[in-house]
Amino acid sequence: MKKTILILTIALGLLVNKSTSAQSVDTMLIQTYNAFDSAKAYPQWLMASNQFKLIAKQSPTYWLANYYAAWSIAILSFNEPTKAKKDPMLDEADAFFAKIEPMDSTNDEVALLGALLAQARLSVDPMSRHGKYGEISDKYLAQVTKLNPNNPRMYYLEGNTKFYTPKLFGGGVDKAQPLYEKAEALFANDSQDIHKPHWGKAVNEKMLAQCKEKK
Amino acid sequence: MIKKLQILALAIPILCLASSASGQMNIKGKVTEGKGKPVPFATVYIKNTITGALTDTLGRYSMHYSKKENITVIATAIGYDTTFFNVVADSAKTFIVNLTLKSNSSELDEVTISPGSMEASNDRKVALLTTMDVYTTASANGDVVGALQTLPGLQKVSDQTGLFVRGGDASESSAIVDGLVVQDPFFSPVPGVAQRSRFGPYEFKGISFSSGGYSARYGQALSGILELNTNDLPEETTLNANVNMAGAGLSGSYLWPHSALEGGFNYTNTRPFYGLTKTNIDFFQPPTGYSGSLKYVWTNTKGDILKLDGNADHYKSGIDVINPDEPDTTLAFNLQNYYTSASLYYRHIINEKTFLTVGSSYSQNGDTVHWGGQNFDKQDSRAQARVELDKQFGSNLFAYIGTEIQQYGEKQQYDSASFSFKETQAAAYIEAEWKPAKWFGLKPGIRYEYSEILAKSDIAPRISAAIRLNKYGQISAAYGMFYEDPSDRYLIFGDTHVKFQEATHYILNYQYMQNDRTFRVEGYYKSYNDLIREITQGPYDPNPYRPLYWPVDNSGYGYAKGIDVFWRDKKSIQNFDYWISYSYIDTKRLYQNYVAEAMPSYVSPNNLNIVTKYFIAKPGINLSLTYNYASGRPYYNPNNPTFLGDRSPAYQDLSASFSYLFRIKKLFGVFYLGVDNVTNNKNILGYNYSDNGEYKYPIVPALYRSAFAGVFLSLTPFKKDEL
Repeated sequence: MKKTILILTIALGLLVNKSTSAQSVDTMLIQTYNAFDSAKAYPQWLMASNQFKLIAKQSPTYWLANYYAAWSIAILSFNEPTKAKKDPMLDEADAFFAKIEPMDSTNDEVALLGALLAQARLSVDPMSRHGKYGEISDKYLAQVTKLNPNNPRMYYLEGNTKFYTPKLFGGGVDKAQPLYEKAEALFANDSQDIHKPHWGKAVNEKMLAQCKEKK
Repeated sequence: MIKKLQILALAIPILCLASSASGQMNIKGKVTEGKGKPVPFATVYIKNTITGALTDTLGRYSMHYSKKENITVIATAIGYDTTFFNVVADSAKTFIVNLTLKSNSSELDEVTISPGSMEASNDRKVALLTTMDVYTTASANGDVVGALQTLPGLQKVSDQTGLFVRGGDASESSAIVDGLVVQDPFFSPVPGVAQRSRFGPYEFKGISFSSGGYSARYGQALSGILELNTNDLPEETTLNANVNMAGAGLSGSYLWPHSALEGGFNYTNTRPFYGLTKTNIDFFQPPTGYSGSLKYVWTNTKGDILKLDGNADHYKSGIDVINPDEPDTTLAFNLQNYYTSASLYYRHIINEKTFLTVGSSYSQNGDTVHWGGQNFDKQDSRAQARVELDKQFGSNLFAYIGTEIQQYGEKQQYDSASFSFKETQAAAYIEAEWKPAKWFGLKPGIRYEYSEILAKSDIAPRISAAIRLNKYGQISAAYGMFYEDPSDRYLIFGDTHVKFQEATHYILNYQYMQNDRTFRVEGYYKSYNDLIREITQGPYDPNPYRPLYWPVDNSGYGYAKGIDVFWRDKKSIQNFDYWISYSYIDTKRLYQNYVAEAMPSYVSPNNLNIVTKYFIAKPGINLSLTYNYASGRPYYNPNNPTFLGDRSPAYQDLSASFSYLFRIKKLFGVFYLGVDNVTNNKNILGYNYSDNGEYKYPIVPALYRSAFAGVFLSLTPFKKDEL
């Protein structure tokens, strides 16, 4: 009898796995997130980001789906080789972000995403955009500090700003390293739950390694 | 027991088979554009599902859909219109769906037709510069024209006021703001001291400088035009203050949902600047004055826009200038100037393919001059109106037709003698931009002009074409005829029995733009005909203020040919942007009171500009270093049998500027410091000879090394929840 039940369960499980509509949105998000995280080349990132966009289109009122769609485009835009494509990509990201921003003003990760998108826009043409987008990024980071001063991603983004500022003007590896280290310590407390965005640990480690190398 | 298991074991595969029969589809195909060229990394997906795929480098994709039903396959990619295909699910397992994408990006890789011009704009992604590039250039001193002089085609002439384009003199170029000709774009000329333009910083969203072959929309400029477009709505309500070594000012903008009011008031007092700077001529009364401006912008949700603008300014100055009759002495030149202008610009969108533009302006300028004991008064004014209709036909033809009427005049009084003229010009034009293929564009145009004072008319054809060679490079060419009235100096002396002066331009240009690197080379040939020539009896008189009592005719002519090279790199070194522009020109003319064909005295055959900028985002610091080299200019030596055969020494200038952007909550500020001619190079622009030809006196710029500093502050209002 036990064997029968076992076989039936397996069969049913197989059937269930074949029909995608029975999968939950969260499961799809987890799968896509893992694909994005383990991608090694630009086309793989692009593929995963497209998946996020499709999921978000299917679940337009779910903040998490829109979050990952916007977030993945932002990360992608930093690595997009054709400069002229960056702004249209970020326009799409802005559309997803515009859905979640009004939903929740107490979620520090939403505010942090706002800062990341502003920094992505800024890096397209730093010389003429640092005024406008620098201000927007600062505004969002101030919100993050108010909502959750222990958000590791905030320290990672601030570390980046210091890393790319020359020493002569108050930046440099010496100023960046403590920020990356603080982020590293806080990353340890991150939950791996898909509902609580926890990106940045690996790239933070890379930046920290670069800091140590330069010393 | 075993029997049951066997039945179950059979059941599982049957169940599995049943589910596969109930639906799976393999969809694959190729995504291409235009003539079958594959589109790599395009996104293909099934509508209302999360099933999607990416095309590979050959444009191929394949995806597996776990149901069997009618679906819509959608393909998208940046720079293309989205396209779709409906698939009817029949008994097949595999469906080949090939999709063709149509390009929609007019800016990413479509051809642009603009030979002869360089554009600085915040809107267009293919512009060579942004307006911020213009303002952060050292040696510009915040003057639009100063910054444009570091680009090929525009010559810096330190002792004369105006736009000197590719061998043409200051009267041969026009400045145009929002489609309207500016009668007095520069402050009133002072002999020997080039004046800056009246254009304030940060007013413009687009600056386009054309050194030849310009559109049929404009005329009456033999050499080139400077086209400026003012900002539309400001981004937010602000209050600004600026203090610098030449005065202080207050300005602000108030933004409503669809309209805005902007105003400013400036008090100029250059005493601190001239007090600290060692000058080569005596500014016994450094320029002081005040100016005010008011602008109203209205828009609606359809995209219509109305701009109303008014300006008034007044200033006075007293400078000791070289006495043209005895170049070793000076004469006091006292000037008082009043200037007012008002303009209207309205663009109305009739439907999504048609819009109408209307513009009108009036300006009045008055100079009261007291020079070497004599009074010279001058008033000039201009009124104009323009109407243009623009329409898009299909997806690759855009055409516009327009008409304009200009009325301008000048009045001069020397003591008791009085001279004046009034001219009315009417013009009509039609021009089209046709792009039959994404890689080829043609822009033919024709312009008709009539001058009342000359009682003459002309028809000026213009045509330009461009071919895009590949993703990054394109060739373009232009041909055009350009006509112009004699300059005001001749019209005011009643020389109206002549024809239009004429110039024919031929331009060929190659441009390469990839991400942040731009290379541009342009060759041109201009032939000038019917230039005004003075029929004088005596020897050559180099005095530009000589009264013109003798007859004139159109027997003057000339040519200008050369090559301009421009290279800009924003990418190679992080945070570092530089451009190099080099111009070579060979030009000769026989016009005005020249006694033989010669290169005019305002031309340097070789011009090199190297502009570098280094930028640090946090804290916002901009450093700029500019080097300018201009080979010697011709000057008149009565002892030389070759007319204008002598050359001044080469001109060199190294300028540096530093600006620091800071933000304290809602207060945004810019502190700037600029040093011109850092090495204090004692440039000599030419020489004046004494009457007997025995002695020569150097013509020098008004200043050698000088420093200028100032602060600009901007305050945006607090919102209630941010306090």
